[in-house]
Amino acid sequence: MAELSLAAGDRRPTVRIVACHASERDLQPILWGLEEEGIPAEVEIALDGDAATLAKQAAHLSSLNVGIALEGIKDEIVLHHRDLEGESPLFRLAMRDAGAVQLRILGANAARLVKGDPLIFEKNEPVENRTGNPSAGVGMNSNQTVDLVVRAVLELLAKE
Amino acid sequence: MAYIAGVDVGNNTTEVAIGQLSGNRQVRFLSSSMVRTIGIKGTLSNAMGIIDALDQALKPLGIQRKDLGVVLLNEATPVIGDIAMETITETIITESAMIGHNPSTPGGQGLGLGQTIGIAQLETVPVDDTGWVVIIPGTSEFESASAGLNRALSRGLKITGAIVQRDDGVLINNRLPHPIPIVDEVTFIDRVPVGMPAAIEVAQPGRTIEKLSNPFDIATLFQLNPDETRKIVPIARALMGTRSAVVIKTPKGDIEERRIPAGKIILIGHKQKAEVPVDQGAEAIMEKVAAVYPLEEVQAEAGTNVGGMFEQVRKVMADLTDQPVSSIRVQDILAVDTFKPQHILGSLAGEYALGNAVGLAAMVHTQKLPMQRLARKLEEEIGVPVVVGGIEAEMAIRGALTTPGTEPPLAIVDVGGGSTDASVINAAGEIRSTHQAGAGDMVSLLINTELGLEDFEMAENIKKYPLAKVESLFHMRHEDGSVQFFNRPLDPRLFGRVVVLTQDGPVPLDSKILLSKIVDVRRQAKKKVFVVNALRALQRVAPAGNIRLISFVALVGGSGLDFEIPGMISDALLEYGVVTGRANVRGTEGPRNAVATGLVLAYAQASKGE
Repeated sequence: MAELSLAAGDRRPTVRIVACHASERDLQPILWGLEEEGIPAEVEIALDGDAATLAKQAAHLSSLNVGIALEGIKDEIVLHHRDLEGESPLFRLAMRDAGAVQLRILGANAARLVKGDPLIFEKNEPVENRTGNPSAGVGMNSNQTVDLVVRAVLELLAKE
Repeated sequence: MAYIAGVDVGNNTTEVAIGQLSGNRQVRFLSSSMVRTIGIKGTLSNAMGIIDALDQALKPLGIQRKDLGVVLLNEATPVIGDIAMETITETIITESAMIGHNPSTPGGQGLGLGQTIGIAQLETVPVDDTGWVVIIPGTSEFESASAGLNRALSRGLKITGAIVQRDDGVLINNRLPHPIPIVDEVTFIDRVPVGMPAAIEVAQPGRTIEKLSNPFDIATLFQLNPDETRKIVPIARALMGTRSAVVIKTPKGDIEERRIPAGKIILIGHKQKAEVPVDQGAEAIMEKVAAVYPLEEVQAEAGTNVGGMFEQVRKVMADLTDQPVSSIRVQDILAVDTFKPQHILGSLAGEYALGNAVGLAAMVHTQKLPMQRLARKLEEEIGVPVVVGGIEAEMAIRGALTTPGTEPPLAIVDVGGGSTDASVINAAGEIRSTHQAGAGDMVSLLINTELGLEDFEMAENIKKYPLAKVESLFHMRHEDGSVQFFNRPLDPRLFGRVVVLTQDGPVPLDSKILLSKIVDVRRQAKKKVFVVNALRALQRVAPAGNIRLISFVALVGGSGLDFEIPGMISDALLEYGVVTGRANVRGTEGPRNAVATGLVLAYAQASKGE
């Protein structure tokens, strides 16, 4: 146990941002969004990769479980959470469509995801029902709960 | 071997029970159904809903409508309720003199005192020991704004705080050499007066402001005399509980608490008459109502708030029942104390102040609803004899008595949308019943007003369903503290929000109100209306007006299915030693279908006697 807590203590609690062929101009508003919400962030540079994968990896490395990737070639920005499936990140936007306002909201939302505060949605945005009927998950049986616990334990062990 | 159908048209639902009458006049119940009532109870448009309900009940039995021997229609109680709400006090701040709100992330913390100035003018003011509270409009990016502040600071100006239109408070503060209190997300920044003394306060996270919510501290800061201090009280009160605030002293800073003449209600009983001013509150009104019972008519002072309110009620009732306004008699009222958040005139960030208000439910006895007309129309449509029969309360008791484990004497309470009804049957089979103003709609109104929702449908949902807080993408915490996990991520729109768990899935609430506060308002509203009215109704039907002499109470109707009302009423009645429970009509229907069942039973009994 002691080793586990040490391992966690090594990392600063940050939202991890991976920039891959991305410009300072795109990165900066995201950082401001995080700053206004009071959550620290850390930026690293990646040479290649696809946005969703990079963001998912960043989320895994972040002790706050939240990662963002900016990928300049396919022109994508992705906000990911450790617990989400790799192919279905929380938000995915095209860099060229995203103005400074949207980028700052993305940063703020990354912070709010950490804090558990309601996320910001721009008005008139089409409702995209990611999960279908949210109550579909109701009645999760005990096997699934056991699976979750097992997964969590395995993950902890793997970090050792 | 005739098939008979009992039909109960209620304010909200139409219920059907199908029974089969055997040779020895015994009834065997075959099925039941429930649909939403179409149109206002007692009007011809109800026929559509009745036919739909009949079809739904008949379908599983493989019986055609024409095979029915008779359709029994309830004699609907000619009682209609309406609700209204009126404010007693109102705070009006005639000059823009305050900002008090809870931006999610204000900047810095502490208290600052200074003179208001636009960020552009900061460049040119001479350096002296004046403190400055800087106004930063939305046109100013935070980078240029903080650069401007830093230039001013390096010139030697004293900057004590800032008022910002955008959500930039933390960003600006982080770029200053030392923290200053910054209030951001101020919508109407152009209304902030320039060149006026201002005090600005930001509390540390998790705390609320201390100075600007205290009239004596405001008096200290602005050197107010006792008279001015008295006038500042509404401001201090409105700022209580916020995380950040600005108070600006304007020359014409006329702040007054205006009391609108609320008016008097005149209660006319059989024997006596009583007058009560509305601003004495609900308790005083209800005391007088009990004193003059039974009520014959309620009048209100013309030209006052309450006068206008009763006029409105009468007009709605007259339209509904097709009677002249002058013949409408208000025969019961329920008054409830409440709060009404009100926009402060001249507010700078869309703030509210809570004003005292009284909610009133009124009930009117009308002439017999035109049920005969409805019966004839229904007969034409389905080609089966339709009979209007049985007083509603009597039928409900008969139905309720099919609950296993009950026998007369028994009392029933039916909390509906418009009125709360109670009936009691004694061992000799005699039935007494009463109708009280105020029920479900009143509770929705209270929830809607006190939470400032301005969304009646949402208020209805809050009344009907429990709440939860979505704490992560995969789990929510219910209002009782239990946690529910989901194996698929929840909609990000629900994340971090309080949601109402409706039949159609969770619906997010678009407000910053805490879950515990919503639960509190909901429960209080239900207590003020449902519990008070259940007791009031039972008192009127109980032998000698004594609830203790009733031993069993069965709850019937839709509210019996509510997740907390049965518990609340049961708790309240426990004090009187009364056993309370939800009826289980025919041992299968729960609190539903009592009247429809009663109609079929009464018909069978009557035909036996022939």
